[in-house]
Amino acid sequence: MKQLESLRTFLREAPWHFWTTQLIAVMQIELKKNFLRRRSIWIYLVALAPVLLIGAHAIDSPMGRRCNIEEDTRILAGIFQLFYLRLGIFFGCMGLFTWLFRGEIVEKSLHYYFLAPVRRELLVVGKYLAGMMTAVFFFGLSIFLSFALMYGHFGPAGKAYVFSGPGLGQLMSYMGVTVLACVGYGSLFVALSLVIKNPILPGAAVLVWETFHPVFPSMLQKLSIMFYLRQLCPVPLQPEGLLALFTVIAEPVSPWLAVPGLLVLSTAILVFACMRIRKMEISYLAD
Amino acid sequence: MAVYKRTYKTYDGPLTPAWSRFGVVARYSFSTLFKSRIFTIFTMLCFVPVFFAIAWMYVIHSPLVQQMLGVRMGSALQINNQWFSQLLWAQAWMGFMLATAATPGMVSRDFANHALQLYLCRPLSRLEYLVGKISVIAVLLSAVTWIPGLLLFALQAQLESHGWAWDHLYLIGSIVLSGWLWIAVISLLMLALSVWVKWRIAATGLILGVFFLMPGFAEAFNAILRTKWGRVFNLPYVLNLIWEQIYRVDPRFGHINYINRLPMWSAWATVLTVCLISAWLLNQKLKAREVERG
Repeated sequence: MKQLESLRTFLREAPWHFWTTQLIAVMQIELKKNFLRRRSIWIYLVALAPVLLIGAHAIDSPMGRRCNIEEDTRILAGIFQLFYLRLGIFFGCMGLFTWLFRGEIVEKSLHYYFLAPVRRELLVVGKYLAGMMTAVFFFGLSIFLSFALMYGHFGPAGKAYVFSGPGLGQLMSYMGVTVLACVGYGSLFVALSLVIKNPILPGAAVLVWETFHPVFPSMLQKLSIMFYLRQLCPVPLQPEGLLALFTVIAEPVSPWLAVPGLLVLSTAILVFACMRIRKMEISYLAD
Repeated sequence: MAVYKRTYKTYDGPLTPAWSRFGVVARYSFSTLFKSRIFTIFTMLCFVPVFFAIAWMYVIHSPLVQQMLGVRMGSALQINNQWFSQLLWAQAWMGFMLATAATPGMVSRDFANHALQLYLCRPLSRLEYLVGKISVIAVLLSAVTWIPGLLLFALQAQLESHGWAWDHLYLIGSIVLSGWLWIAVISLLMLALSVWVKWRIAATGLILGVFFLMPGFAEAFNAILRTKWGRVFNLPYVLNLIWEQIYRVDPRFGHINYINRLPMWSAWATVLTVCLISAWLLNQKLKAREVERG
């Protein structure tokens, strides 16, 4: 009861306006770094590679001469689930969010942040939000362009599918799932980069887990981010190959549970990262 | 001796023979690697499938054990070229993870600490430095791929007898060749990427990107452009194709759409291109000095 009271006092008396100003300042610095750095080129490439391919397809098959909407819808769903969610966004977030703190250590500049009169938790949240905005911008834009090119080259039929059919709803779902994927994977990689010196190898283990989670019992499947994201995808994709043989069909989770579930999981991971950074000591030994 | 008496003079102690100087680099790299307890444990874990394979061989050849376990091994569970191919493919991936953990740190630390010039100012050439680093990966990968493969072959030949070894003699060549192909591709590519980015974490990410992200891109390429040629970007796929050819595995086995396979020449060409690009990158980037502008 006493703790609850002290928490209430803290929330009432905390300098929220000051913290918000500091948070915005941190985000501005990070956004500039994320967008304008030469190292970001690879994120542009990963995010925009499918757009280039779909663009080539649109040029190759104008007005849908050598394809049809059903087939292209299935292909777009496959690319979204197999390339974007499982690999593109995963690797993009891995690079982007790992760099937030590990990059400062490599460039030997983290102590400037730590010496500034800013709460370390604000630093984590600010960097995380900036990373998330970058990831959402790149991958969201990429998915939007992929979608536009995929249906745009059908002409009036594509327009009718998007504006009078299920197209617009599918686009909204794709964008929503992309945002959730960036939120989920982002928090995971920020926390990993604060715990482990080289977070890429545990990241590889996470990738294996996220790929093969359908073969595990349904209880364990719920511990994977992909489990929730897959359910929110507008066009379901049947598992193929050897994975299909071993897939365990888990009871689907309603979007009303999947979305808050994922957000709660990400918040918990971020809280852990905030607690972790309070005890962090800088070591500029070469990475 | 007082410090002021330590004037400069040429080293006149015994010199390491020129042919084995790369071994000095390899020795120190090895000792650094095995200082990590996690790495040592993972190296041990890489041998677990081999022990399972030995146990499997023993059970298959022992009717008494089968009776005790209450199982009957049918003819479908024969030990043949396919069995060796799949086991060593799994081992190769274990070795890949081992090399991914080892290689970036081994090289990029030398760059990050500006230590490369300290190596090369000694009587050690760039090639010897490179061979020293490659030999570490080669020893690690050999220990988990072709050496256990040959031991398993010998064990199987001993247990099976009836001319099994003679009938499958080509497997010795297959095991050694596939192992060394994997070692060549993995070590050159990983070293080239590590030297290129010069940051351990980025190098590890890039290696994983080449082996996991590029196959995804290749499949997207195939699906969108309705072709099969996107698979030339899929290095694990082309290596698997060559692997199956080396082991004389029936191409229809395990491939649902084997008709859409890439031709063998393209697989060899892809692997050769990767090796050549890696060698070129190493030649360009492995330098003791670098002019920084701006």
